[in-house]
Amino acid sequence: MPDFKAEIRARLAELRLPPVREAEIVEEFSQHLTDQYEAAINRGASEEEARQAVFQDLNASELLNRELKRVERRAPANAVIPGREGKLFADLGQDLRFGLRTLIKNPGFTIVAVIALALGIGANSAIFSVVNAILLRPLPYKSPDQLVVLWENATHLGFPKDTPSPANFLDWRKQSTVFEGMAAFAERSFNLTGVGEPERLDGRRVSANLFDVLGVKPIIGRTFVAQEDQPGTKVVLLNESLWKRRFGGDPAVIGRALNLNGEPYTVVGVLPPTVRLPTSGNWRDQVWVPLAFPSEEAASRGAHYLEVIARMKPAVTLPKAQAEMDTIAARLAQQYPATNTRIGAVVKPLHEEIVGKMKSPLLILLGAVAFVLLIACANVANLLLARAAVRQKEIALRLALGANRMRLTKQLLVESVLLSLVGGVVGLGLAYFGLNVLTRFIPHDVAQADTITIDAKVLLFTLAVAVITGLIFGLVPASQASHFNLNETLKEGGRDSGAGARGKRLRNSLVIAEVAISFILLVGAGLLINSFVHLRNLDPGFRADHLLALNVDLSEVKYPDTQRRTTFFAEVARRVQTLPGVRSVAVAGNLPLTINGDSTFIAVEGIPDPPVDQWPDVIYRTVGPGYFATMGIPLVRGRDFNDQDTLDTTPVVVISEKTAKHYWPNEDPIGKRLKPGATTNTTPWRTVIGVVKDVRQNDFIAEPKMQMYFSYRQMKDLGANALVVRTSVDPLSLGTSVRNTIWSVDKDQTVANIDSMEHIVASAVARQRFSMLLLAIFAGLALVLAAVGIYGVMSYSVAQQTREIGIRIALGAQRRDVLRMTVKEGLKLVGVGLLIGLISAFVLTRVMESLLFGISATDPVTFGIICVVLLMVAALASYIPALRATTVDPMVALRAQ
Amino acid sequence: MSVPYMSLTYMATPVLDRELKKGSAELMILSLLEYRPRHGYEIGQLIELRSRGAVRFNVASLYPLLYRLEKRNWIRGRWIEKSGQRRRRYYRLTSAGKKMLAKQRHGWAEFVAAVKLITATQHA
Repeated sequence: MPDFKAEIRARLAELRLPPVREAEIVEEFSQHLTDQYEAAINRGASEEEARQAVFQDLNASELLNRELKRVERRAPANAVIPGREGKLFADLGQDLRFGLRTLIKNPGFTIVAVIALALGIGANSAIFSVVNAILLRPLPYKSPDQLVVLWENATHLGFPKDTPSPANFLDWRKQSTVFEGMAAFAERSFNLTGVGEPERLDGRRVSANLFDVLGVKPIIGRTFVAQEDQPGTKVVLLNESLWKRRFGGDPAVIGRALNLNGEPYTVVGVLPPTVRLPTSGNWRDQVWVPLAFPSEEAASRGAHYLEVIARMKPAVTLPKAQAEMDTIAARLAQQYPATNTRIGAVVKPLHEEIVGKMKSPLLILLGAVAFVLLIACANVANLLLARAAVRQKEIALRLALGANRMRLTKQLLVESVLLSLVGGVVGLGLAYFGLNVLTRFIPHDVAQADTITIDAKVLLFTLAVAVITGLIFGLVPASQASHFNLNETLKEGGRDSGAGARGKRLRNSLVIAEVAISFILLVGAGLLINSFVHLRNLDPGFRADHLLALNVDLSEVKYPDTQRRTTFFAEVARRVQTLPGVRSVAVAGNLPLTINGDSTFIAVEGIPDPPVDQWPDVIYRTVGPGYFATMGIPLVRGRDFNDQDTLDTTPVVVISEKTAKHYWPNEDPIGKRLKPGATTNTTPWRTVIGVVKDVRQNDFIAEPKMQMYFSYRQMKDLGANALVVRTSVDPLSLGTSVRNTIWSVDKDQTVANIDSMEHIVASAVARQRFSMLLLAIFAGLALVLAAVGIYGVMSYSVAQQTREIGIRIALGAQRRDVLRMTVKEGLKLVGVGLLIGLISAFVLTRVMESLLFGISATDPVTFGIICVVLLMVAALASYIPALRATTVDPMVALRAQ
Repeated sequence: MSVPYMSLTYMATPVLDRELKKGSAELMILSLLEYRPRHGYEIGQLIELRSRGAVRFNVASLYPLLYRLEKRNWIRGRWIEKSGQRRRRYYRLTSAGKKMLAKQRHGWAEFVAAVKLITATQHA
């Protein structure tokens, strides 16, 4: 009987029906023809006659095709297996389905690859979320690009960005033409009393036009009007959270009088939570009052405490604004040489001021996670290569059946992109949880840190990263698959030719890349960890352990003079001293590392005042008796303040070692006299009674500046506002009882910022800790991924060499030799990787210089340690597969292939 | 214009319009499947037999028509194995097919009656 099926199939070919459908039609037709043929034979026709009769029908195949074409759906341009000409998107659905099936069929491979990718992509999404919130998201003000911050430039005094004085600010505002508006503000704390528990509120005095300059609209009520910027005006704006927390979000709060620092202020409006002015610490504005300079304050050029924001006119550029401010500053320097000589002006974009400090650590972290992802890519590419070797027969078969190489490459790419998309989804989940942890380590003073979320931008970023990742790690095996020699593969009769030179070279290059990248990351992390250790080992100048600190801001109305303040603090100190667990207690002004400021130049008896622009700056602090002992600041010479140092006795001062060395390098400073300001100042001379060790007051990282201390009992206006308690127990456990003790003296007194000094010191290096911690995590991740990569490649390589190893052992090779041979091969790769990593790290770590402390970017110790660590990990990763190699039974190995 | 569905032995020229032929071919198939499922070869044989050789389908026209009817959900084919026989695809009438059969039958009867009326008048 003729082969009807072949005939029918040939005639149907041009229809390109889906294979299953084609098979059905072929079967049905061939049965019909067989029936016809048999009927003809039964009627007595010869075989040839019967065949001709049957084919007569079939030969109308043109007709057949035309008719079938009308009814039947054509197969997608290419069926999976045979692979004919493909179009870019037409087969995407089919490729996806096929890819998905392939991934599901290999759960082990899929899970390992997805985990590696999820870690890499998740780390990228998490860090990008932070970058997005902090660096990319515009500030929540109108045209934020036009907003700038203005500083005084007093670089010669060590203040390249100094806070302007009121008179300078007013002159800037009057004389400048490039700004639409200029506004100043200054931190001020308020005691809110009369509504429930007394509370200390962070707040600011602000120019009436500040909110117009920012372009902020109130939620209810209004902002300030120009007339309110006058002394004696008592109006206040609340922030939304205070309004909701203390007043239940009641709109009737407008017009209500609040008792702030003992004076009634009328609420005129509530501002949205987006109003965040630049701040140096944990200051969280809750209330705003007009700046309202009294006349003597408005005339002051010596006191530098304002912060100034301005809005540039639309056409004005930063250099133009800077140029005009330079002119104005030069004019002021001529006009007021006593205060303004060498004082310039600096214009900086507001965005840079707010996020500037986080910029380089974040960009470095973004680079680090990109490296982690590259390592993950290399790992997955290696996995795919190994699998491609296994799949080589399948691919060869498909090629032999006429599949087009382009189409095959595409199919493999779709598979890898699919893989990385799955990795991306899992990575997003990891990023979500990771962010919860990460945000806890972000320094509190980082603006916009609370807006870190996974938003549409982050999702889009993740999608892009996933697709690009898939293409990157998919390209290597795909290109290999489409290049390999069909003939060779089929000739080798199933022996894996993926281990051929090309495949091996690729896999080895990937391992080398992984090692090099891990090395860079590890060195980066090592340098940061090393810096951080240096930082933490810095002597702050006091003993931070077992030390409780809290703010007690006295109301100027209730405690208007030194006498009343002294009485209050003496009573508080007496009662706190009796609490169990308290060793000593002292009154203090601003505690170390809590503010950045309070410095002045001083006149020293017997030494002529230096020229204005060469006058060194001395930090001053107001403290009470027992402060040095309680803080653990060693007294080097002389005595501490005592209760007898009052307004009625000789004014005294305690200086730091550095001050003593500067002014009296070869003399005993005790008994010498100095005073704040110039010799001509009317303030009385103060006698030096003691010398203490230097303390890191303003900046934990910079070298301590000259310092001096006054007794709060001898100060008319500078009151103490803090308490330090040396404890024998966990300091924070005493917080509540100390607060209650203060309330037992004055129930209306606010107590705020109860904290341990240890935590305050830790916060001072929070930024460094953040960078270090994250980079260390990512470097650890990179190390693990690289180890897995090396292990994978070595395992594969050992598996490939089973036969060779078997022969060697059969020929008498010692297991030790096999072990050495395999580990050596692994270490050779690692060595090359290390060399490349070493050179790259040498160049790349320079970008980290600004983040490093006490260590050079090319610190040989760090480089050396990392080399050793990586070598050890690599040796271990090669050792395990090598050990397996030595257990190869020669008989099994020889039979294996 | 070629007539894809069948060859009508008595008609030397394609005088019937496409719809008529299509309609009649569909009607014939649906009628044959009214009471029992049949496979394609059987359908072809029965049409030839019952028309006494006047109507005959070839494989290139019968099956596309069957597939078309199946696609319209008037008939449904299923592979059935009977002992001692090859696996065959049997077609049966669906409920939609039954409705269509009734409709076409009615239409056809009217059409034939109309043709008769006209041809009778012509010969009168």
